[in-house]
Amino acid sequence: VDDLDLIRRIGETVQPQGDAQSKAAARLTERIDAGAAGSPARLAGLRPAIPILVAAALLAMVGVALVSGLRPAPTGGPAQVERTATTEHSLPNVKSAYRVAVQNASGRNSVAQHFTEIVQDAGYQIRPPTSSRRSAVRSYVAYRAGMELLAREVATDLSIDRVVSADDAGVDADIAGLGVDALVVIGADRADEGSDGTRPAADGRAVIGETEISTHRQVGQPGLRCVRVTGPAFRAEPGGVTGTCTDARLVESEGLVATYQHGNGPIVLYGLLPRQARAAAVASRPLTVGGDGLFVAVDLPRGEAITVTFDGPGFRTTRTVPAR
Amino acid sequence: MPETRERYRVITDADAIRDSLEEPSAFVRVFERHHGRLLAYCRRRAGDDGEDIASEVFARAFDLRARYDLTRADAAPWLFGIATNLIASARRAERRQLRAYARLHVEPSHTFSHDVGERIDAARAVAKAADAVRRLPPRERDVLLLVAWAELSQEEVADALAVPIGTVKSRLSRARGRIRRQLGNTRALSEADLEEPWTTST
Repeated sequence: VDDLDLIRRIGETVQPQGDAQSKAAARLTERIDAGAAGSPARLAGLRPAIPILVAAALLAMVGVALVSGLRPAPTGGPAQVERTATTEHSLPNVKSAYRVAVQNASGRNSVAQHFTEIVQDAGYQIRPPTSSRRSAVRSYVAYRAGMELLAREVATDLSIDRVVSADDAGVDADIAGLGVDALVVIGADRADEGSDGTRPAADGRAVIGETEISTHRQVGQPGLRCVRVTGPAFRAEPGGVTGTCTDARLVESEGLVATYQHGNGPIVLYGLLPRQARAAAVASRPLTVGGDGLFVAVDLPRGEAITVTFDGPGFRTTRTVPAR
Repeated sequence: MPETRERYRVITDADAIRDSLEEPSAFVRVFERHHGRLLAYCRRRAGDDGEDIASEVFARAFDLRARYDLTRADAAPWLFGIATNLIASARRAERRQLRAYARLHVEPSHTFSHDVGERIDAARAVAKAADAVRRLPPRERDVLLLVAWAELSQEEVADALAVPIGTVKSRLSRARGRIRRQLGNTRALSEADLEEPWTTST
């Protein structure tokens, strides 16, 4: 055995704890929040200019003193507080940098096509379905080193429960050849419909299970919260979804929960809002789907209701949510 | 399939880092792209401490992003370089982890032969390799493990460690030579073998 091979086998079974990523994400989010308030990058960029800025400030003070004749500053008036405008952000489409391929090991072109569309509509770069040189007992998502989380997310999208490293699956050469990060291999036992919760729908859309996946993430501005909007309908319909908001409410334990009814079932917007936002309401603020329709940002100060405007290419819905 | 290739442009790490200078949340993209791989590497090198180290890598990278060389599309070497510096300050944890690999029954890979005797031999060889890695000078160990565990190319390792490529090649060559010499001695490891071979200061 080659010495490098031996070294590669040292500790190869060591696995990080499951919550390590979420802890690290939370830590980075805190840092990003702090960075938005006083970005180290901006401060670092300013650093060389500090002596010049100090000199300019001194000159300005001298000038003001000369012009004003050293009069004392006026006192007693109420401070003018100008409210900053709501800023809407959409998080970047992280997935677009990843490349995924669907490999048809089952001879089922329609399934391969549907899986490709689902993964594509989820935002990943996609290689067209490829023919397999080997048989696959069942479906799995293989990943190249370091891309396990990506593979797990793709597997979730496709209701596939088997995720393996390319090395273990013996498809590392395929992954390298295709130049992708993850490879979906459709197995020979995938049923036409029903058995695994994934089936091509009659109208051409893909139905992935019954429930939607919802996550949330803070973005880097104090008081601003980002809601990630996702669901089978979003994934199945490039360009968005036409829907009707049937329910939107603030839930004490979960923040904003808004439900939209759609042909494929309800789509839930799930957001973590500031605790104070759960107070009584007097005004409204827009909540707008941003970017590719997957992310929503809302700035919800104390005591305001929100108007949920669900707006994107080909669809628009609006709903006012009274705060409690 | 509609015009999806045109719809999604490839956004490099450098793009994300440049964007993050204006909009800090753009840095999330770098985290999502690299954290899993970096976490696995740090965990493997420094045991339980590795999870904190991986987390700290991204916190530091975020703070240092203004200094990132935006001509480099892939941030992996930069991140692994930060990780290497952090691991250097946790050498004790790293040595403890390598001792554990050498002392414990290292599970042979399933790709080894199923023959029991061969599996035991394989486990012994891996344990011995772990001990040999532990005995390497830290700089050689960094290069070797960035190649073997982080799967960086030699050019990427040079980027990560900010050293010339020739230095990487020579350190790698020396490290592998030491490993091979040590593996040549096939007697079983004893507890005495597992005592600290280098200085105990961290």
